Amino acid sequence: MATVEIRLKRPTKVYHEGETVCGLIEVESKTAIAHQSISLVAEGIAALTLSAKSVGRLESMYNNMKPVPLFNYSTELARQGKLAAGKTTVPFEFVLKPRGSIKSLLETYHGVFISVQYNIKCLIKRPLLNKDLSKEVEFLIEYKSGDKASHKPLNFTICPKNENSKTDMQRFSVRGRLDSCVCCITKPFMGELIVERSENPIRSIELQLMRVETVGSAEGFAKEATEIQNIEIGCGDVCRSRYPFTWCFPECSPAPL
Amino acid sequence: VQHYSWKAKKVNYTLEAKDRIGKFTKLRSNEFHPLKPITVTESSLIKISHRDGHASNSENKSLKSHSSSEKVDFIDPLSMMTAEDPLTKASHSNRVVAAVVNEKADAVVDNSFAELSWTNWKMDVVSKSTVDSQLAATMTSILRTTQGISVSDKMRDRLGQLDEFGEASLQEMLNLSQQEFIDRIHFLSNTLTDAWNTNQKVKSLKIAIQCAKLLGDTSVMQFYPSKFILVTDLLDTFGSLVFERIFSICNGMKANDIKPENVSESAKEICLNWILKVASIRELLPRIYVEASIIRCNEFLKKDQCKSSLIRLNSMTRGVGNPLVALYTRAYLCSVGMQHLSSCGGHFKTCFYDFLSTFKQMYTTPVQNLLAHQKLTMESYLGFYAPALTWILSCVGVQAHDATLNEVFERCNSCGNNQVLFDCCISAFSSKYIASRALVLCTAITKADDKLYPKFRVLQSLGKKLIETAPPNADKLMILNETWKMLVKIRDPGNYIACAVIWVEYAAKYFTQKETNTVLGDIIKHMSPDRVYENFYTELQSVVVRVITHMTSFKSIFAMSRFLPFFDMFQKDGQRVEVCKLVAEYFINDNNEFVTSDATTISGLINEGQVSSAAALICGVILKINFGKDFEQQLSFYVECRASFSGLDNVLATLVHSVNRLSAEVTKIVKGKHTRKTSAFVRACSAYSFITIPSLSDSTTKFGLYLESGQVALISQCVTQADAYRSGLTTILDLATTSKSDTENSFLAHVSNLLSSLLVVPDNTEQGVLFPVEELNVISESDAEIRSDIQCAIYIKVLAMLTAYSQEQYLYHVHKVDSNEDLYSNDPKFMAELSQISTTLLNEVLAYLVAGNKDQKLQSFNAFNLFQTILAHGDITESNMNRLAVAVWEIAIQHGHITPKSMLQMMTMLKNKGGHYKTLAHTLKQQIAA
Repeated sequence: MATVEIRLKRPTKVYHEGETVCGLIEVESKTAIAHQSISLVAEGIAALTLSAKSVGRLESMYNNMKPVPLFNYSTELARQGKLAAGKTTVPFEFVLKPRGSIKSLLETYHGVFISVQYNIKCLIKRPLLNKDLSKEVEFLIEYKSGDKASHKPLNFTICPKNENSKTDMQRFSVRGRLDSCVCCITKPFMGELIVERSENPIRSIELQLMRVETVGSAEGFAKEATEIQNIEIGCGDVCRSRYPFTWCFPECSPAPL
Repeated sequence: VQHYSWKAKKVNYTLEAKDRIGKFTKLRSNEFHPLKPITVTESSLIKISHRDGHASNSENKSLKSHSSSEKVDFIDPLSMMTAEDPLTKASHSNRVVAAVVNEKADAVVDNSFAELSWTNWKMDVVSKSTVDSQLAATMTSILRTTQGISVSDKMRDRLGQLDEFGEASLQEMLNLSQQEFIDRIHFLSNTLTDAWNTNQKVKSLKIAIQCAKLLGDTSVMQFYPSKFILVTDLLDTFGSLVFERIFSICNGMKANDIKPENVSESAKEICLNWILKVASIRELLPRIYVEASIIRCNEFLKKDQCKSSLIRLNSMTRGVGNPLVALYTRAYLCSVGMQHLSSCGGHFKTCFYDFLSTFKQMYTTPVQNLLAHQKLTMESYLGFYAPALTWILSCVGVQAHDATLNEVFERCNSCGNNQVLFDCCISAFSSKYIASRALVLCTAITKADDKLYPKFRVLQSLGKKLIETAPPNADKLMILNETWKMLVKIRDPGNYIACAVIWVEYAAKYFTQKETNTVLGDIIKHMSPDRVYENFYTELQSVVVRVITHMTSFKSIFAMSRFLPFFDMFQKDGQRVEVCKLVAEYFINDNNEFVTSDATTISGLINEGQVSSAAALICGVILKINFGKDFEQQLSFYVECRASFSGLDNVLATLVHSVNRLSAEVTKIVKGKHTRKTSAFVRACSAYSFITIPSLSDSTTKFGLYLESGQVALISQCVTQADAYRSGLTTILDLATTSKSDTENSFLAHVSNLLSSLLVVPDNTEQGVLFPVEELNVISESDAEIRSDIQCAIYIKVLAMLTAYSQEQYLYHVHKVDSNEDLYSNDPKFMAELSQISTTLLNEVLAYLVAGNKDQKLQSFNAFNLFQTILAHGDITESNMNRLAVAVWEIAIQHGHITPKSMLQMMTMLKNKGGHYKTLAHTLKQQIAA
């Protein structure tokens, strides 16, 4: 059985706009195989995704919104021919340039409702009675590091506001500061938290990272907030003082452990 | 049998000696002697070793090769070896490598050192803080087990341990759960490695996380430190696995010198992935621990990334609410810091300050409630803090400037209830620093009014440090006074003695007997009420050890009036003997010449215990005790010893030897001219020996001692005493032959020795001529017990002696003792007596030699012996003697037991002697031919 692999030269698979993606197509087979063509397609699409979570308006929008192609490239690497037994490699490369009317390539994003995804697909067409061989890999587009991040500190205070149900609510006061509210995804997210007072012992302090996805359409905007990650920064009855916290953004890394 | 009579040869010893010396010099001057080069080198060698004492073997050898051969191109293989010894070469190159490494990482703590101290610390904690000693043993064994042990071994081990635990009674539940816990961790650790090896990396990560999670639980606080160590061990394993994995991808890089720019992209990617995975662990505590365990991987990404990560982790730790858990987390961070990045000095300090900010928290109600729930006192609770705190502080103290340490101390001082901090600071920082500041610390401790942490612990740590390094001279006394004031106030005898043990060493090391005496007095005062000392024998014993190690001389120890009362506290017999032994050992090892009038007290001490096991020790002590010129005192000391150790043969023998030496020494001092007083003394010495010897049981020893004592008596001019010995000797002869027939050679040697001493012993006027020789007849009378060949050998020796007796001038004399030569001055009657005895003996011997029912081989040897004696001592010019010699020769060679070689030697010897001997040789040759 023959196998096809796509190997990108960059193990991180992270690229920026304007860069050249280089790689190899590796075909490994015990016997020689005849093929009609070897073609490579790379494309980037921004689309709404349908999932169990997507309910309500977003779901209704899904039917109306069409995926937006951001990038497209296709080429034929080899004409009809034969690949010898063993390992055959075919190199390829292409430049990342936005397509048509699109001004720039969007960053890769995997959300609950929305996704921006870039793929490379390789297809080896084979004669009748033979299964075509295909392989698809994803590569990532990032803005140049820190391009759009800016230093915007943000102070916040959390204390119970609900005056009506005093009996239920605990009296406490927590202040804090985020180092920046527009962050670079590869750098840790930092800030600090000050527990000023708490009537009852604290059991745990957690940070929750939410993503808010907004889809605009003719009918208006739809906004959904979902949790990405929840992380504990204090456990037990912590001291009433300041806690700096640092948090690495979760990343989807393709590398093995 | 033909009758022969003995005719002795007359010898002029002085002439002969001259002759002999002449021959020697002739030999020396022979330049073509084949052995000459060697003798030359030997002598030069001796000179060399005399000169520098410790000249090593190899050196000598190379020298030898040098001097024995003048050829330059000759290379001694041995000296070659020393020049190119592979071992020295290796160590040398090692040193070079080490030096290079040191240069590279200047001012950087040696990694292995950090590793070592961390391991030490772990051991320490385990031994201190595990609930039950058995468990501690288990833990230690777990810590020590290397990975090489197979699983089945471990299983067996564990089963064995479980069996042991079956006997535990009260704490069974607690133990069981702990043991289970240990097993669990152990199991997990194995699973982790297995999973890793089978490429289930996510699983191993999960295990690591689970284990780290366990550290959040403080339900059994006593176990927490041990648990911490178990878990961190597992995490360390995990960390190194991850590191190794990534490292294996970076080929051609050194583990201690990773250059991020050379690390391949894929390795970086894997590394980053690990770090991100770990960073997204939801719970705080596992996140910190696991991140810390793989912190070294940051090296692959960016230079100094480690340091910033460590600082980040450090600040994350502030989110851990439980102060104990947080402290131990910091301790782990510090250990990681020590192991991997030595440049993080500041990091350790922040760790400590962070802890200080949570310090108040310990006294808040939630913690107090917890303690009440677990039935712990604040004191023991703080005790759990101490190990981790000490570790962090010792990390702070590594290569720190004094200013930093001062700052730390200041911070501690400004906290309330700071005794625990003081304690840890003192035990963590270098003794040099502590010593220079001891007085300040002392006053700080005095002032502190911390009710929660026991002062004695702090004092203990301080004392230990001060013993390591001396405080400034001016402060020494003040420190002792201050501390002792505090010590006196300690009520609990256990705490008191634990502290006193250390400070008594301080006193003994830096002060004279006076101060130490006071301290001992105070200890006695504290330990005496209600006989509490019974519970603290080990501590008291270590007090003794510490005192005797540091006191400069034994004199001063026994000059202390409190030392003996202190000894009285050891009332259990076994304990007492133990302590006495210790003292005795130190005493023997003490190299200073020991002169004191109090030494009797020592023997007093020693003989109170059961001494049977320590005979050798006692001998050592006896040999060591020396009263200098006070000989009377010395003798009376020996008398006392004899009374105390009457059952111990070894000791008695030593005593006899000592007394003999004493007597000889006195004789030497008076240069042979005894005054009335000294002669009385030496006589007393002889009497002492004579009385002591019979109580020994081993006859060989007895015999030797008799001989020695007799000789000493002779040179001390106590002729009558020497006589008395002889009567002892004759009885001993029997004993010696019967009991030691297998060691006849040594017996014969003894006899020869005896006979040669007898030569100088003058006859007793009351007992007739040659009394001692008459006494020897005992041998023939008891011939049933002595083998006849031995008897014969003795007779031959006696023959030789009698010849010596018959000379005009004897071969040797004892100064100031008149031997028989002077008593009889060649009186013909005396001579006749001699020759008559000789003849009798000779015939006895001959009778034996020709008897048919004896061992032929022995007969031949004895005959050969006799032949030699005849040649040496007989007058062969006499035809009678000449015939005798021929006859004896015949007997000797008739059974063919004498080797041709020795016969030939004999012939050559005879020919060389010339004169009558030559003719005799001729006759004998004919006989051989026949």
